[in-house]
Amino acid sequence: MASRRDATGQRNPEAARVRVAPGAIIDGFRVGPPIHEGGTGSIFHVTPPAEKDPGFLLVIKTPFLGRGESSIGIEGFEIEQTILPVLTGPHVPRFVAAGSVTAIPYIVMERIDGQGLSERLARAPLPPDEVARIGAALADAVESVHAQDVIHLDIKPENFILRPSGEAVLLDFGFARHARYPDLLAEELQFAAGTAAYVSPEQLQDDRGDPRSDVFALGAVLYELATGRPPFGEPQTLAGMRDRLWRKPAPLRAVNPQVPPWLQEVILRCLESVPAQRYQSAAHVALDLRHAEQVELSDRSQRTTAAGFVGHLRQWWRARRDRRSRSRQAPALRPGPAIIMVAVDTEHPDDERHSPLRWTTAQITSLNPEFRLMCVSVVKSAPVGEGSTDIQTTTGKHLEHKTRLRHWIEPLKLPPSRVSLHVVEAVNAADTLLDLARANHVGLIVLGAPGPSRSKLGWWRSAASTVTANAPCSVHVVRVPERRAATRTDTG
Amino acid sequence: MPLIERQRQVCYVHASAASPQRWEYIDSPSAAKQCVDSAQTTYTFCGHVHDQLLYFESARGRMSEFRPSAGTAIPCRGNRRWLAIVGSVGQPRDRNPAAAYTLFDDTRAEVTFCRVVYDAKAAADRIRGCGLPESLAFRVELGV
Repeated sequence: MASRRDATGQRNPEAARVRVAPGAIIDGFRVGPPIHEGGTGSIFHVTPPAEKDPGFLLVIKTPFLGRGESSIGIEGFEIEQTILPVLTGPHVPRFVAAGSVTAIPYIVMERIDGQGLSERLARAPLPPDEVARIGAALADAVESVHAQDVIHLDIKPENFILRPSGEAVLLDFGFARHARYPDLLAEELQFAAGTAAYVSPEQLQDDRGDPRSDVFALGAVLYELATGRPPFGEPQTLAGMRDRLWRKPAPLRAVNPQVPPWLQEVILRCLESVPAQRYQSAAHVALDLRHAEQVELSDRSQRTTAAGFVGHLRQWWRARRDRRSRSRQAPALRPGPAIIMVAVDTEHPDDERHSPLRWTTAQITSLNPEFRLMCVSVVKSAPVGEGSTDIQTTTGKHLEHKTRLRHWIEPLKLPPSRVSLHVVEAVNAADTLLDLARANHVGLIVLGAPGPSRSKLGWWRSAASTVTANAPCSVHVVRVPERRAATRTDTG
Repeated sequence: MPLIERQRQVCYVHASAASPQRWEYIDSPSAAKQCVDSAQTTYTFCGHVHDQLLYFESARGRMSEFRPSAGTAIPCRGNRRWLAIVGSVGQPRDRNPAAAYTLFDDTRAEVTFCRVVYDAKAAADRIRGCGLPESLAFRVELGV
């Protein structure tokens, strides 16, 4: 490693002699009491100088720089200093300042108020609904980071804080990989992987380029929340960790019979040792955790006993065969929209837009084999205070429109696991569609806009233009082509 | 023009700082290591190889390879050594005729690899018009 130099390469002989400790003032930041002191570093409260005050509470983080310091520790710190400043959104702490790793290495960032996931884990096993709710929040955070071209690669309970709102914040990007930056841990030791209980099989084989590694680790965290123990124990050796390259974890229902089949299905699918057999994005995990009734159940959901010797042998053989045929090429971080939403007007089943809308949906879903399609119908409800003469119950109305949705999508012959149907009663269609798109990480909205002649559908027309103007993603607007009126020529 | 130039912690050389007069290609991490060892600077910028590439030093002293995306400002802190192959204006070799160049911000310690589209056909026609070999013209036009 090059000797300690500053950002322009000049040697700094005073480097790293100053410790970040309570009472110290570093670049104007006054260090306060410690929050956490661990093997890889420490975190303290910190007060900024007036000119650097961002208007929210802060912490300062430093690497452990004792005798025999690990180079991974300081490189991890350098990685976090590089990646955290370019991440935005509610799921990561806001970056404020950093000190050179050659002088006094530190990062000042937002202090997140909330409960560490480890504290919640202490009460595990948690009820299935709570696991699903927390799991969806964790998946939202992971998806948010993936959408910014970063893979975290050290997903574990200690790296999540749950805000009072329920939203999850992801911490510690010391092992992370940014798609457009060089990987400083590329050739470190045997592997520069995350934490033994949660690390993915491919990270153990030096693959740090697959975002599905975070999906595996997320599954391991959910497994522990649901059962009270990690899926592969806490191995202390590399050989012990390599078990997960071929061995499936014990079914959750064998450990905790209270786990419902749909939750076991979701978590075991995250924990598939072959990445291509997992959920392909955290957005898909969040979608299934939020819509349990639409999770397609496979053999995974039915397992209730752990495999015996013969079963393990079979798993080992299959995994060996799969690894040989698996391409070493890491997938692109964002191959296409993970979730597509199509808005279908089931209140007007004879509308002429249905055919071109269905055709467009078929075209778009054929381009990306890993998509999930949300078919949404927003059924207009009467504003509060207005009477309604409709005698149908809410449940009956939902059922009728869901049936119409099913009928609408049926000609596309899409696998049921890729499609979910949603009927929402609302006064404002545009706002409802936008809220659904944001909450479910929708990457593309497809909807129809009525032509000028369809004035009675003005409600939908305004929805299309409002959604297009305010969508958090791309919007594909489908229109019926105009038909020109025939012209008569005078022959006489 | 000198074959090699050093300014503070930056070295500029056409081919490799290891024996500049031999015009050796940096086509492997070991060749990159020899170059940075000879340059004795934190940053080295070179060419001769036309494809844009970034080598960086790992904690073990080995050079690792990274293929940059155009337009991204890559943080390149001075606590490790870096070697950037800046790319070629003409004949970029990757079937993209856009001219390649690289920017270095020594205040922010960032390196940005860039590509800029220009009228490669017009340039190729002028090469032909000067009576130069056809291969020089189509390599500019096609970016090969």
